[in-house]
Amino acid sequence: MLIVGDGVAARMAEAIARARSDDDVVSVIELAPQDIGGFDTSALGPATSETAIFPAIGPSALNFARFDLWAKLKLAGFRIGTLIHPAARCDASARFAEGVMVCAGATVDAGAYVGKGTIIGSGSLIGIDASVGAWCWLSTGVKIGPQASVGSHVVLGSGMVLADRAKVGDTCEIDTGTVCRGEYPTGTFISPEFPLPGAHLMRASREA
Amino acid sequence: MRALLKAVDYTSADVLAAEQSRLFRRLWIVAGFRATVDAPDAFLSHQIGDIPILIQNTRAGPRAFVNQCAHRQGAIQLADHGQRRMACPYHGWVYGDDGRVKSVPGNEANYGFCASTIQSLGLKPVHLRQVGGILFVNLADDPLPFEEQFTSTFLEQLAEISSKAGDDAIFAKFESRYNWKLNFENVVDWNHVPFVHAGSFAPLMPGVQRSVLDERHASPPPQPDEEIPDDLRELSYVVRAPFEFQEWPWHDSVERCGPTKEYTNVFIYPNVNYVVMAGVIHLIQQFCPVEPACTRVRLTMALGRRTRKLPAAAAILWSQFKAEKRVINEDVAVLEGLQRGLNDGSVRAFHGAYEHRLRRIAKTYRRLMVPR
Repeated sequence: MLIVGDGVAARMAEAIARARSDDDVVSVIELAPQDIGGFDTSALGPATSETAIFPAIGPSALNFARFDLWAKLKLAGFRIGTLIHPAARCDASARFAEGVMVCAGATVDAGAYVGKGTIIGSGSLIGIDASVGAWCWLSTGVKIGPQASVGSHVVLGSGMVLADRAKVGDTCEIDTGTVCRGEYPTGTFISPEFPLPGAHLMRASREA
Repeated sequence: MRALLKAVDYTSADVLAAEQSRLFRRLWIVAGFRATVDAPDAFLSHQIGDIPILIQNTRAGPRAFVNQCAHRQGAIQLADHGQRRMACPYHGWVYGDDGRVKSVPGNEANYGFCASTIQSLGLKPVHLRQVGGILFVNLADDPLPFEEQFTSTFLEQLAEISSKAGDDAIFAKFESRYNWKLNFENVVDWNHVPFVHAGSFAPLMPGVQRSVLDERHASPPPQPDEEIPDDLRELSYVVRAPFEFQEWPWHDSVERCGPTKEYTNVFIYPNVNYVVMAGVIHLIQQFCPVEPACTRVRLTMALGRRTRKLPAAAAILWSQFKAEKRVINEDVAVLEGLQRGLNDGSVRAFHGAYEHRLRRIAKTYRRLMVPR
């Protein structure tokens, strides 16, 4: 397993890869934040079927930075790995798309779905039949209630609780550290800088 | 030199009421970016003093109205922005492009209005004017001629800069515990930057650092009050300063109105600071009076008009918006502290030469505040 990433995300990925018994060799290429956008995959040599690569980039730019690196690696023919920590508890009926990372102590319940490239932090919980879209970042201890849904390119801050059947649209950041109920439309941003009612994308950006 | 305004100008409800009639119901006030209402039925709503305003894109282009239903004065649009036809959410009255009532649900059963009565009812129109990509409204029945508020040079600059603003935008509003005038004075006062924003904004703005700290730029003594001009048109102006913005690949995906390493301020009297960063990020800061010691700050950030697909537009807007708010929070802390200290016994502020813009603003403000 080759991990290409930055800071915390790269260390999280490395820890999972080393904890898994099926990974004989783990290598890490650490990128400085300013080098992520311009990373040239030719530096990795030719793509091979034996080595899986994991793009471990943090939630920068609503996870678009991770998505960009993933796209470059795919275009270059690399096989993208999935990292699930042995100490994560994932129900057999839970489904995981390519490039997912699930950290130690996380729980993914029956019928839950985790989309492509999403990173689930330590101690998080994805409830029964809940759905988390592609390119999301769930910080430590995030709880997604049963049948709740989260769109793509979403960042949920530490300790966030999304109540049962709550809905979060695409391209959102919710970092209130509290229980969120109801519906958060695409382009909703609630953070320490913008507490409730938060900031909101206007029409065109929501449709982009 | 003692400031021309007293503490009471920042703390009195009577002064605020006078400002409503003599400034905000008289002058042209920025409503927002034109591009954010480009779509059919797109709208912006706004509160200018105690008057709710609606800017709605109709088939005849953008129109402005008082955002109050002719029936029971409910707001036609409840949200700050969105895309929805002009229909009152309270009892369903629907309005046409000209603001006249188009239909009254259940008229025969519930209201019994004849056709001529319905035709006579409508939303109160508000004067609307577009300069480049910026929409202005004026609440007066007989608005001030535009050229009495702005110079032609300023309007040309504003049109050129703002015409590049696109429809990728993000919006937020929050309330701060200070008088609205303090916020406009603060953005005009460049000398606060190296002190208030020492750890955030200032290190990226080498021009401000130098001019503040270099003794060779010592200013001449301040002008006596009687020599300070009070021309309203001079209060809106454009300032460009070097700034260490980073070049990003996405900059090539939008139209630009200036170089990457430039920070542009467009001060629009009485209450708007329009900023352009790196020639590609447009930000309108509106300082709207709510109470003498309460200002509603409305922030709208837009990217330059897209020239190609920009899937990460939302992420770009959000990261820039957060960074900008952290800088604004530094100003808010200082201004709230200032406002808390104002009382009837406060002595007036003491101005130096560099504060000549503040003195012009104050002198013109006092002229405008004289009852007509």
